[in-house]
Order: sequence, then structure tokens, then C-alpha cells
Amino acid sequence: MATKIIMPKLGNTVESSIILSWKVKPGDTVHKDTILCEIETDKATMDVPAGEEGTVLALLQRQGDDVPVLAPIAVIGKPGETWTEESGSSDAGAALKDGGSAQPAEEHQAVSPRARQTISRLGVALDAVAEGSGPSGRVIERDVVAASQHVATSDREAEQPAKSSEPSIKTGSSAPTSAQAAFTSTTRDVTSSTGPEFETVPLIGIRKRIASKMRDSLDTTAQYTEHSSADAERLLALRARLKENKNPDVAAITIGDLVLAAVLKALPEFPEFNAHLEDGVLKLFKPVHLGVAVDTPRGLMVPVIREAQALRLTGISKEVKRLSQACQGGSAAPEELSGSTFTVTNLGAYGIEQFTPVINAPETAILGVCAIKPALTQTEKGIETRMRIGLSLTSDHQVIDGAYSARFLKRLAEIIADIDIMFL
Amino acid sequence: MPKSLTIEPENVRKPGTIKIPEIPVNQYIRNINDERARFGDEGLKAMLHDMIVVREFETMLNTFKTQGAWEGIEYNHKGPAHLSIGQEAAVVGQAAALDPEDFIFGSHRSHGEILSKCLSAARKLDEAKLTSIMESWLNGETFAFAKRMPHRDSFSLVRNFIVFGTLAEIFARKAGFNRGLGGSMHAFFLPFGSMPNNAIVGGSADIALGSALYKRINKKPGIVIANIGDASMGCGPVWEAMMMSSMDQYHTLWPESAGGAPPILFNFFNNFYGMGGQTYGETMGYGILARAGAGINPDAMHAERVDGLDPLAVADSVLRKKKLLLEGKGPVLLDTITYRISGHSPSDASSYRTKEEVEEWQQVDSIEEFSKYLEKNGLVTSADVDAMRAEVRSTIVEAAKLATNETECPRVDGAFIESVMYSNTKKLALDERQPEVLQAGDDNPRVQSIARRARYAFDEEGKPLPKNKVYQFRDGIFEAMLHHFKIDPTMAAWGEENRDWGGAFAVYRGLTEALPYPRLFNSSISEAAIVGSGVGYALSGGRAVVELMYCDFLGRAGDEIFNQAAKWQSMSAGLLKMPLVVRISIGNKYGAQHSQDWSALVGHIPGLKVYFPATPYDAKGMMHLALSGTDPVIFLESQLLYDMGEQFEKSGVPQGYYELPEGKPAVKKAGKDITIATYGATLYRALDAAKILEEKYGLSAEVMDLRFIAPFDYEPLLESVRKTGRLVLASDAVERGSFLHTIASNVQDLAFDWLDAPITVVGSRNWITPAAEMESLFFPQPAWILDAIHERILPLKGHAPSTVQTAQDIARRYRAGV
Repeated sequence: MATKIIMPKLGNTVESSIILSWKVKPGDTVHKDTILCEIETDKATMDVPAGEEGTVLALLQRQGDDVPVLAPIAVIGKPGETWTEESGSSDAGAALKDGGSAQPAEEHQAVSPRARQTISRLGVALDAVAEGSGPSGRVIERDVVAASQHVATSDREAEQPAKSSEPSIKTGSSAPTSAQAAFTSTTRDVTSSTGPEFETVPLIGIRKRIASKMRDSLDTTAQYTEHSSADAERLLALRARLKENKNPDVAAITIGDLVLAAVLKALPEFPEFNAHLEDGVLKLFKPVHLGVAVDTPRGLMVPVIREAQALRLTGISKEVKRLSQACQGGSAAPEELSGSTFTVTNLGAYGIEQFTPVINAPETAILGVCAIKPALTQTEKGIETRMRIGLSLTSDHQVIDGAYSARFLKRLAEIIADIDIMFL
Repeated sequence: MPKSLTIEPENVRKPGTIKIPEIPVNQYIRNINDERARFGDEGLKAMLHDMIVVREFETMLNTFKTQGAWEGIEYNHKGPAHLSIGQEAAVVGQAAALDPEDFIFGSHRSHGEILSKCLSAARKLDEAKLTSIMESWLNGETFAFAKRMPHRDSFSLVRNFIVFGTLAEIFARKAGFNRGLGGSMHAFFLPFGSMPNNAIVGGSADIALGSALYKRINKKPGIVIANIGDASMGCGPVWEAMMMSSMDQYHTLWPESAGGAPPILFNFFNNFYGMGGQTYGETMGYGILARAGAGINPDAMHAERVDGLDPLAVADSVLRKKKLLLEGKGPVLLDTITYRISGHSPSDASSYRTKEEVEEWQQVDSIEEFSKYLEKNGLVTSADVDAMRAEVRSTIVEAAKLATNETECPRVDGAFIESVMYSNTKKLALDERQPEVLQAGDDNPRVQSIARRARYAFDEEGKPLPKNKVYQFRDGIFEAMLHHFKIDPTMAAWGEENRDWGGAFAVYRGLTEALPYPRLFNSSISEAAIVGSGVGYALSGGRAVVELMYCDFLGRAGDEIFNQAAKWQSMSAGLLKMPLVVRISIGNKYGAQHSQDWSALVGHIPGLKVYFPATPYDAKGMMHLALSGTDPVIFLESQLLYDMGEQFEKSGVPQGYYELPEGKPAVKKAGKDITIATYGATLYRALDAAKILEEKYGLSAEVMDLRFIAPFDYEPLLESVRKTGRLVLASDAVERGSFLHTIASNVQDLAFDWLDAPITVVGSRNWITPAAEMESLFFPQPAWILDAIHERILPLKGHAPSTVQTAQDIARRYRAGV
């Protein structure tokens, strides 16, 4: 009896995962722990084990497909067993039975294997490819590439009509056929080998998730950013002292870790900053699940330090390093990548003096940590050059007013300025 | 051909008659005193013993085959058993006259030869040598079984070893003499001078000649016997071997120090039948087989008919002939009459002979007769003979018990067979002597001529240099071969017109000056014997380079290439090596029988390596590769390329030694839209097509030279196909059955998802090759490649096909068989 293997549900918020690569093919013998495929959620990449013993009868999803969780991805059964999609859809079964008379077979559209591969790589629908230019109308790769360029072009036109200053490509209703005809006749030379000037890269995986999350954030919040700075002399002095410490965990504590500790000290006094705003309801959290933005080769990831307020400085420091490495290596677990209540993002290392971080919705604010720079400062001794660390705080005006945000920044600056006595 | 030998009209036109020397028939007369003096009593008793071994051994096999059991041992032997019951005296008499260093090559009916030659050699080797041979053979695996069998002295232990090793081989066991990969018809045991036996009738004749050439050229001791049957008198390669073994040049041109003619004895075990065809009175016309010697040379090959029912008559003749052969006065032909009481094989219903005839021969049974003779002369009693038979039988019973034991005596697995298909060893010199050369350095006229040539085909401005000023494809082969001649003392080359003429296509020009006879010599026009002797030379331990002037002549050497060169390494379980290069030139211009690329035929045969260079750089590097290994290499050379300069390696063809990586095809022009991959001279037409694609249609073509047929590394080709998604394969071989279809099929398997169109094969038309003036109708032209791309892969904008290359036309051609 064949068993369908489903896309596992990885964490509460994951709705679908992308099949990055199949590790088996139909006919392969698998054990329970044989890896069927590698998948990617918006947070991490994982391997999917077979969970069954037997022979792979069919792969139901293609590489690159974004598959809803719990949807079947493969079928495992006995060697030689044939598998048909009998349970897939009764309509399809009926159609199959009557097919001979009721519905004459569609004219076979030949598509080259490479064109099929390109279709899935570029995420183009086969329907969008008007006709094949290969021998006997076979759809070949260049047809798919051309179609994908057309889709990209018409999307851009539709979204930005004001910018479309070239009247000749104006498409009005942007019906695919006429649009394609226009495109073909004006810009496309099918036998040209030089190809387009650009490469089209569809957004998949993490990139796609980041894109939609960031846009959702801007769509659903009223973000604004305030810039400030804190005296960093003691911060630097403390860091220098910690570095000398014989305990490697202590010596490894960074400026960034110290700033996180300062944030954890400030947050309880400003509960609206440690909160979620969803559907008009503000959820104020008691513990702080501190999100820390990490730059990875696959894009921005935000691992979460759970119950960060309960950790000692070395604990925070170690957890940041562990999570950062896990993200870099693609091995972070889904639960480590969700559920933050406040997020800190640090671009200090790049010399950034101020920026406008985008809120990691549904959180209410995000703190951007900037570079430490010398600055002229009024002190009791007069005008002095002191090292200062920049802070850029983006808040959601729906729940946090400007003055409240300024007070949070001021308090945070105080803590940082006196960082060495903060732990007293 | 040599200028030193003049053919004078007055001489050859002189009247006269041919006097044929007398050919003795059954002239031997027994004299017990002489024989006792010659072999000693023990020697005579040993002959009887060995005859009994053969008889009992064959009887055992016959019983297993016909009854599925023998002596209470049940066993179903699925393979062949061509038995020699009745022929014992002939094989034992011969073996008794030989020394361990004498080689015998046999036939499908050679169990008796293996047993008797091994037993004879074992008696003549000292015990330490014997023990070391047995202990080292297959890491002592065979010996371990022999030791498990009862034995009372060192001889009975060796006998265990010989009987078990042969039987285990016949039963295809891992502990058999050749790991069970030779089997009944191919079993042999090298250290005792029992050389490969051959399932192709007459197959041993030219191989044995090669082995004799090896002994002669490399001054190795001993003689070589080709034990073949009377029916093989009808086989061309047997005659070719006899002709080539009797060439005048051994005496007229080879230096006296070479030692004369190769020491080869063609021994026909004449049992008067082929399988069922009767050679006496039905299928032959010689009357007495020995007569054939008269057709070969003025000595009539020292031919004799010998009574093979008398071991003493056989031994006497072999001893006399051996002396002649060692003196360089061969070849020798022996017509050793015998009779097989058993059928051709167990399925033989004897529908071709009467019971009475068989019974008449049984009445003169050699074992009966010879034991009576020894009894009469007081050497043995009948009780001795019975005891001898009982002991032999019990040895065979013990051997059969072990060799049929499925658990203790297993067979090899597929991985093992895979591991012995090639030897894949690197060995530059196969002997330690100083190689003999003449003018092989800067004093060589060809070397001087090459030194004046540009090693890259274009001048500094990229203009092609005149052909006579550039280093050519033929120079690459010459340079590599000369290099190996200078480092491998065993290396020898022969073929038609190789010496003096320098090969029909001037590849060997300069080698005549560089090499003394016999390292380079002209053979008779005997393609089978040219290649077959190369096989024998190589498996005996020397490196041979033989040449077929045209690929079209490959059919003449079909067996030697397909069954012999290709198979002996693996049929010997890797115990033999085959350092043989067969250079084959592929022609054109001379019509249907001189223009064929038969690479697919050799590519089809497991065990051969097949190289097919298309540039001077590759030709040299691939020849170095071929001559540095120990595998049989079919080296294909297109005559269109011999004068071609090096167009790809900008630094020119290196003067020094280099080898190409085996199996790797090469990108000769990079591109990204379509891959055109070729074999042979078609490369240059593909480059022309690529140029048109680029200039006229804006398509960038990658052009690859596949270079190797076997082994072949697909990865570079796949890499190209994954990039371009399109593949055209082209070569001058006729399209039907072209090796390109194998390439196409495998690329389709390995890169299906990358393909944007079916893989297209452009080959020569499935016709005869027409006259030179019409060749463009037949061989692939650049336009064919363009048209095939347009019709079947990627329509080219504005292209009007000038030839018909549509898929529909492919179907039409096949329907019509063209």
C-alpha cells in the first residue's frame, strides 16, 4: 500500500515551504531516515526524511515549488507497485474515463526538457508561452525566456503607468497576447544569441519572504524614525576591559552585546516597545524575546533570544553568537526564528551614522544601532570631543507617539553612557 | 621492396621444374632401448601416467555432462566440454618432448594439452621453483585447495594442483587457473608453458606465431607450438600465419644474430573431423594433411605425418623439430594423426560416423597399447597400471569434490570481471635490455626534417603556414613511436609496407633508418596474421605496434581484433597483459572498400581501448598514452589528417613527452548556444559550420573533439551540453550504427533535463562510398550540420536548407534501408 509523504509543518507560523532540491528519484529505495528533499521555509532550510521504508513511486512536486504544509510531496510504496493519482481528484478520474469521446485529446504541445526546467526556474506559466519556435512548434528554452521577459515587462508597466513614457509599448488592458505581440515585434529577435541585457531572477525562498514581510510592514504600520546618540566613552572602556578578561566568554562580549543589555534594561520601563500590534489589539509582553537581525548569504534573518531579560551578559553574548552561526549555516530551527517581541539591528560595523530600520511587524518598534564616532559634546568641562554611538529608533505611530519614543531613546542613551555602573 | 634484393627477369623467367622434398609419413620405428636411453624408465612410465590422467579427467567430465553425477558427486556443468578421449598419446608425447620454457597454444579441445604440458613441466622444474609458482599463483588460492587434497609426495601435490586448477577453471571457479574466466575452452597455465587455448578454430596459429616472434626478437629460450586441428586447415588465418612464419626475410634481411625464423611449430592434431565434417575425403582435398607444407616453402615446412597413437613417435618428432626450430630453420608443420573416441561435445550423436569405425579405433587404443608395450618390456606390471589408474582416479575425485563445492569454491563476482577488463597499468619498458636502435637521434633524416617544421599551423599574424613547413599529424605519431622505440627494447612494429616505404602514408618515414630488423619489418599481406601475431607477441610480454593500411581491411582481421586482442586480458583474469597498439588508417577517395570508418565495430567490443585523434597534438599525446600502458589500443587515424598542422595548441606540439588524459573529449572551440561534437576529420567541417553559425546566424557553437571511444569520460561533454542545451554529433562513419548513437543515447540519459532539442546525429549516408568526385554526397558537410540544426534543433532565421535533414527524411531513409 503506497503512502503519501506530506510537507511537514515546521513551526506554527510556517504555511508553506519551498522544495530546494530532491535527493531521491522515483525507483529509489528509501529507509525511514533517508532524506527525501531539502526544503526552505522563510526562516530556515531543513531536510525532510522519508519516515517510511520502501521505494519512491512518485515525486508529486517539482524542485522550486512552494508547497503548502501538509500537502503531499511524494509517494512511497513497494518496489514495482504502480501508483496512480486515484485519490487526487474524483473529477479527474471521471474525466479520464470519459475522456476518449467527450474531450478529444488536446493537440500535444511539445516542450523540450530544458524548456520545462527553465519554466520552473523562472516561474513562468506554460500558458504564458504563446507558441514554440522550435521544429514543429516545440517550445524551446528561448520561448520561455522570452515569455518571462514579457511578463516582467508588463508587470512593471501595470504597476508604474506614470513612468511608462514610451508610448509604443503602452498596452492598456495588457492582455498577454497583444502585449506579447507588441513586445515581440518591437524588441525581440528570436534568433539573436546575444539575448537580453539583463538576467531575470525570480524571488524565491527567503528573499521572497523578506520582500513580502517588509512590504506588509510598511503597509500596516505608521513608521517613523528618530535619531539620537549616546556617550560611548564608558562603553568603549568597558569593552576594552572585558577584552582583557581571562574568561573567554567574558572576553568575547562585544559592543553590540552591551547595547542589547542596555536595551533589556530600558524596555521594562517602556512596555509599549516590547509588544505586538495585531488587528487593533496591543499585546504587551512580560518577557523580552529579543530579535537580533543577522545578515546571511541568503538574506536577512532575525533569530530570537528567548526570555532575554533573564540572561546574564555572557548568556546574551553566547546566544547571539550561537544563533548568528546557525543562521549563517542555514541550520537555525524554525522556532528560533520566530516570536520576537522587540528587534535590534546593528549596522555600526559598516560605519552607518543613521538609518531608518523597518519594523519587524507585528512588533511596534525596532532599534537601529549605528557607528561609534567622535563628536563635539558640551560637558561640564566645556566643549569636548567624545566618542558617541548613534541610535536610530523606528516606532509605529499607531501606538507610540514621538515624545514617548524620544523618552525611550533618552533613557537608553543614559544607560549606555553609564553602562559600567548599569549592572550595579 | 628492399633495394638489396633484386628481382631479375632472366632469373625469374628461366624454365625448370619445382622439386618438392619428400614428406615422411609415419616413419618412426620403435626401439625400446633408444627410448629408455632418451626418456629413462621413469620418463616412459610418466607418459603412461599422464595419458591415464587425461583419459580419467575427460571421462569424469563426460560423465558429469551426460549424467549430472560422477563417483557419487552430483553436479550440473552448464558450460562446454570438448573432450579428447582417444587423443591422449598425441598430447602426452608432445609434452614429454618439451621443456617448461616451450610454449603450447591450443584449441577448444585442449584439456589434455594443459594437463600433460603442466605435468611434464612440473617434473622438469626443481621443487623450490615449483613451490614458489604454486604459492604465488592467485595468492596461493589454488594451492590451498591442492594441499587439502590427499598427497604423499611433492609430485602428487603438484598433480593435485594441476588437476584441481584445471577442473576448477572448467567449472568457472575463482580458484581455477584463470579465476574461472577462461573456462573449458580457454584454460591455460602460463608458468608451465601452457599458453592460452582458443575457442576459435585455428585461432592459435597466428597468436603462436607472435609468441614465437617474441622469443626470436627478444632472444628468449624455447619454441612455440600451435596445436590446432585438421579442420583449421580451411581457415585463412592459419594459412596467413604459415606464410608469415616462412618469410624469406628471416634469412635474407634479418641479421644472422637475430637467429633466423621464429621457432614455430604448427602441429595439427589430425583427428579427421571438424565437428562432424570429415576432413579426410569430404571437406579437404589434401589427402594427407602434411602435404600442405609443400605449398608454403622449399623446405615444405619440414612437414611429417606422425602416428599420434604412439606417444613415442610424437615425442621423437617433436624433439627433432625442436632442434630445427632453435636453429632458426622453421617453421615446421606436423600432421599428428589421432582419433577422438568421444564426440565433438556431449551433444554429439555421432550421426556422421559409424559405430564400427569408432570400435576399430578403440581396438588400437593408445593407453591399452602403450601399457602393454611397457609391460612387455618389463617397465610395469598390469597391477602397477591398475594402481596408477586408481590413484589418478582418486586424485580426480578429490579435485571434483572441491571444485563442485558451491560454498567453499565460489565464483568471482561482477565487480571482479569489471576489474580485469583492462589492466590499466603504466609500464614504459617491458624488458631491461638496452633497446637496439640505429639512427634514432638527430642523425635521423626524419627527425631533421621535423626539426625544420613549425609546430603550430599559423604564423605570428595568424596566417596558415604552407603544409610542407608545418609539423603534421603524421609527425606526431612518428615522434611518439620513435620515443618509445628508444626506451622499450621489446617494442617492435610490423605491417604492410612499413619498412623502406615508410608506411603507405609516410607515418614511418625515417623509422627504417632508426631501427634494425627485426624491430621494424614488412609482413606478408596477412591482416589476420599481422594482428594475431601482435596479440601473441603482446601476451608473451612484448610491446607490438601493428598496422592495418585501411580500416576497410579490418574485416580480414576481425577475429584477431574482436576475439583475441580484446579478450585475453579478461579471459586470463588479468594474468596476461596486452600491450598491443593496432594502428588503423581510415581512408577516402578510393571508393567503397577504402573509405570506411569502422570505429563503431571496435567501439562495440568490450576489452578494447579505442583512440581516435584528430590533431597533431592529440595524435602524439594519445600515441604516448597508448604506448605507455599494457592494454590493447585500436588507434584510428584519418588519412585526411595526416598532413594537418596543429591549429589549436598555440604553443605548438611539444617536443617532449606528454600523455593525454585518457577518455577525455576536448573543447576545440568554446561557445554557448550549441555543442557540435565529432570524431576524426569531421572536426574541421564542424568548425566550418560553427563559423557560419556565428557569422550568419549569431549562434555561438562549442566544438568538441570526442577523441576517445573507449574508455570515454562523458563529463566534459555533459558540461558543454548542460550549458548549451543542444547537441549535434557528427563523424564520417555511416550514420546507421555509428558510435555517435551510443554517445547520443548516453547523453540523453545523463543530461535529459538540460536538452532543448533531440540530440542529432549527422553521419555519412548509409550507402557505399562513391568515387572521390562524389564524396560530398556521402560524407557529412558543413551544410548538413547547419541544415540538421535548422530542421531538428533550432530553426535558423532566414536559413534555406540546401540538403534534406528533416526528421521525416530520417524515417524515410530507414524505411528504405538506406
